[in-house]
Amino acid sequence: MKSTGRKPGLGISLLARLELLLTPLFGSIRNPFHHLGALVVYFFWIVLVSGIYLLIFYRTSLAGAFDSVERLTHDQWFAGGVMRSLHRYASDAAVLVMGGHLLREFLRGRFRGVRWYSWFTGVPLLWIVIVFGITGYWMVWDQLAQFVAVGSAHLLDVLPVFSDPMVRSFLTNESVSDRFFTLIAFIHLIGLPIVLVLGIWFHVLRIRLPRINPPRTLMAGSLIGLLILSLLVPAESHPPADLMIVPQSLALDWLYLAVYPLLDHFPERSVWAALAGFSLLLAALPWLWPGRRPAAAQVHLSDCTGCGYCVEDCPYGAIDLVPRTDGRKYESEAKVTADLCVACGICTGSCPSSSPFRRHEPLTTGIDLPALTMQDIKQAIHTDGSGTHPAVLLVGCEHGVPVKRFSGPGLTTMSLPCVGMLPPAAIDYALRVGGFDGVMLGGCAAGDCFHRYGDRWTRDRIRRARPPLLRARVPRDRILMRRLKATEHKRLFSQLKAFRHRLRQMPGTEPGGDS
Amino acid sequence: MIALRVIGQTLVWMLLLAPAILLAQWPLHEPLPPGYGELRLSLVHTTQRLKPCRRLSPVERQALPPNMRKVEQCERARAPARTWIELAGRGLLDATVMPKGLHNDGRVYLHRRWSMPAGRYSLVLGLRDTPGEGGPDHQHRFELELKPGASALLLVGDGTVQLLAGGAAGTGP
Repeated sequence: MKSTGRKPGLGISLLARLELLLTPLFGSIRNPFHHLGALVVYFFWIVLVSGIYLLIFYRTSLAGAFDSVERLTHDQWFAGGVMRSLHRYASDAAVLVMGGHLLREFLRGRFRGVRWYSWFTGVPLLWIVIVFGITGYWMVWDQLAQFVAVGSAHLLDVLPVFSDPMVRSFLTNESVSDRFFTLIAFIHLIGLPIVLVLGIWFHVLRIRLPRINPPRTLMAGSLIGLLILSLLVPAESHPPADLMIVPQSLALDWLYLAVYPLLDHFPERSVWAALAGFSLLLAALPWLWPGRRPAAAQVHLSDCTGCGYCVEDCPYGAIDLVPRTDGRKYESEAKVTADLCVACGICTGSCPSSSPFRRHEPLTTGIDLPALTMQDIKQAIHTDGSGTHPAVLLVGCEHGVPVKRFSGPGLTTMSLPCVGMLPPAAIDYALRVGGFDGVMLGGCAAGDCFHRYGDRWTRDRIRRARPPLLRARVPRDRILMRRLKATEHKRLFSQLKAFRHRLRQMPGTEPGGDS
Repeated sequence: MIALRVIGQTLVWMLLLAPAILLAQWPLHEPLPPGYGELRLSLVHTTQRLKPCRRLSPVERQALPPNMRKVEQCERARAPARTWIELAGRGLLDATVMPKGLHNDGRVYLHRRWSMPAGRYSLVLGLRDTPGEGGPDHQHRFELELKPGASALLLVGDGTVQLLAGGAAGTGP
């Protein structure tokens, strides 16, 4: 038995190696890298709670803003000071994790095709969050706030929005009014949070069963980490703002305020052009780099009973139940929205008609892919004819370890768009009719399925927790599911060897040539 | 074992979050090089009309509705403002700015800032706010003592021109 063939791309390899560093400690399902989007939302919960505490003591006035924040930071360092640090660092963590989320989805190609909507709606979210942070820095009214306020005013004044330039509000210390703080507080505390929540809602609108909250262990761990860091490196203010001086040295928050130093070197219009260009490029990526679009799943009414399992299981919400059109006794039938279908095949795996035991030729099912029909799957379930035992059917997916790299006597490989495409009956068939001694499933890493739920549905079907159920008669010890990252081919290889070894020891495994 | 795992996870979280805390305050940014100050110009000025107002004749006034019988008729457009600034004998600014508004009937706004080494400078401001080409209608001279880190402000309004030397007192005209 050997492994050869195509390796995953460099970006995916580097990403997988980085993420695997955390798997031993957190486990694959709770690997923080698998929950970046949910972690961003969680960090905003921390920001919200800590922000409410800060608001109780904050004064929205020119004279009160700086002093109230200072009192909060120093007079009650154990509460207000920690809350302030938590507020700031959770905001920074949110931006950092958001950047990681964006990069990760980009490297994995999860920005195009039907996923364009989530990608596209994520781009404004970036800016909403950045503006959120910027307005937060204004509220302190220290020298950093002054630097940010003056820079923002210069930036906004080149837009044809204000007839009276905004920069006039920051000419002298006397030209800043209390109303400014009321306005900023309104924007930061009411306006932007509402816009942010709406933005997040739009972002996940097309995602079925979105994971909004990370696992509790990640919530607890990150909160403890932030608390310790807040105590070790408390957030502090700069000296109070004075518009008649230029701050000499600023501890700039580069995650939120990186745009302002650009104003020292480039005209405001150039900075706007760069920001707009970057945003447009980012938003247009799904169309600039569309990738291939496989043919959508097809419904075969002769085998569709309108049970709705495919509707439940489709991670993309691409299938609906509609009233029956062919006059058969069933109430409804499945209907695929081709624009939303990525041809993952999970619907084939969920269809009770997807059974290789059925005898008609060619074998059809209620729903399958034109490029990989149920007949193709049935034909692939046969041993290599070498008579080598234990014979194993190794089923992989396009995004996990490439199983086609493995070959050898007694080993048959089958690569599906997603392991969720494999109907439970096909496992039964492989063991009872196909002549296999065992079936090994090697999908994406646990908690990191490319199609989000393919691995989970498969596991649940085998455990008889989700229909269609794998028959109780099928010996579970002859089935092995190992969910690994695309780079873990050596691990899959060793686990395959160990599985074959176990199979060899089992009574009932036919004796034969060894691999 | 569980305790070790919790400690390990906490340490990893601190390691993962450290870049966020680091980038929240480092590297330091210096808006100005050491020994430099800043000069700001804020010009908000109403220039003269492109054409002078014309007094309406009694016949013209009579032709108007009773509630709209004004004495003068003025065209809305105003002249652009041309501003010169000379600093230590060298030209720092020569800008012509149109008045705001769709009909160029608003005020002229001009805001600029320059960083420069601290020191004593003679500053000359010229402003032309009447139609046509030519030299300045108003000229003002200042002695500016710019201290390191100071942000001086040349404030030009309607009939008022002030130099506010930031950080320390400057001398007026």
